[in-house]
Amino acid sequence: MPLGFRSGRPEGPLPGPQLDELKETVRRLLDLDEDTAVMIRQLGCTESGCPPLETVVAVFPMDGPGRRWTLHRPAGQVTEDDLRAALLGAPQEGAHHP
Amino acid sequence: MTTAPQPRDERVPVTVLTGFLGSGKTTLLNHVLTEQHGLRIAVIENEFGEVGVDDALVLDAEEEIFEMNNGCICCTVRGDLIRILGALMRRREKFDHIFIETTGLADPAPVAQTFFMDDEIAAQLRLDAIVTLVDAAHVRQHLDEAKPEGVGNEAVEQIAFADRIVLNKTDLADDATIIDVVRRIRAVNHPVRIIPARRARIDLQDVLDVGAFDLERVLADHPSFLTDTEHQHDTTVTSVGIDLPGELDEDRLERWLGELLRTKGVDIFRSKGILAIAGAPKQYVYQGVHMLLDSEFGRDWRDGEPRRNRLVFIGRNLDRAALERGFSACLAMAGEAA
Repeated sequence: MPLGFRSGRPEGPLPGPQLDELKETVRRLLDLDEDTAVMIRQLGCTESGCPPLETVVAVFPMDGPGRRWTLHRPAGQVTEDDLRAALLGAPQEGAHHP
Repeated sequence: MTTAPQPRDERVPVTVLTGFLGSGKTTLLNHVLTEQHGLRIAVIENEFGEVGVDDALVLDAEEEIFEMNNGCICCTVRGDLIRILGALMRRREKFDHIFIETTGLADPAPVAQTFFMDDEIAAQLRLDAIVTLVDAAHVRQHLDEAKPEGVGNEAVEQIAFADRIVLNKTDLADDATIIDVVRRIRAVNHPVRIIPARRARIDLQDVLDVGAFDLERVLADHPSFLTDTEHQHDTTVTSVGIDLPGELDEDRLERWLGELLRTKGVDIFRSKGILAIAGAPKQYVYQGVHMLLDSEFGRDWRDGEPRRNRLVFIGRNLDRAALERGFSACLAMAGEAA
């Protein structure tokens, strides 16, 4: 099932029910409690050779470090299968304490 | 024609307090919590145990910088704030305003970016102002501190990001020092409002619910900023204001601004604008922190009001001539002439 967004600027904020749906899918796949914050953002990729837009999923539990996963496609093209495959993999490091 | 009233912004205002250790952040915060203003204030503090007001909703958080995108400083947020703001939003009915007190060495960028990066936070909370406390007697030594290559000077950055500067401890500095400190602050953040204070005593109306991200209010405080062009290309942190009459071509503006922030966003700390888009009856209001943008249509242009475009950048290595050239090329008339 495609979890697309309405049309919008490629790097702008992505509000709306589709984003909520994507977040709910992340919550369900990772079995997160309601205190855990989920952030999803489409960003311009800075790595050479990568597609120009990527979707970052970040998860912030109350009792542990933040984790993130990067999907190398625009948020509007991310499917539940994409999320399942990505979230099964190891998260990337994102957090540090100054 | 009468101007339609703007819908009331129901989001909770958030004030971010920055400033070096000893500049008076906690003293100011204690004033805010003890004054009879009728507001219920929640405080998030990164410097623990210093706010001493009974019954205040005070939450401690350990600063956690979180990179959304490897190596891109424009995509860093504060994980601790995301968690705690989310928890506060579930108790929304218990408070009217949030204060975030950062550590003395905190970089304001990830704090501000947190409010731009997440849609849920942006929908419920409004970054009202970044208020920076400055110790009038000692700030110059922090501003002059040499940093290794690639490391920002925190004191300069805290001033650059500020919407309000509380110039504190003016009783401990002589007049010549205060004049010089004000000059140094203006060299970095020209349009910022500076509020002199002793023992962090200020009129709270100057920092509470001021909508300081609103460029119109900034310019009301400092109307000459956009016509002051004395600052030229400079490798230090400084500010550039542009006032351009006419209407802008939306597509050209989006391309230029997108490219500018993509390529120079690391150096552009803050940007704000009130713009006239060709064919749009409302003002286009925009603000940005590094590469992240937030924009919306604001109030209607009034009958007979000249269409103009006001834009402010604060950052490092700003090239005024290049910014003016690029912005001018976005004018709808410029496209027709080409």
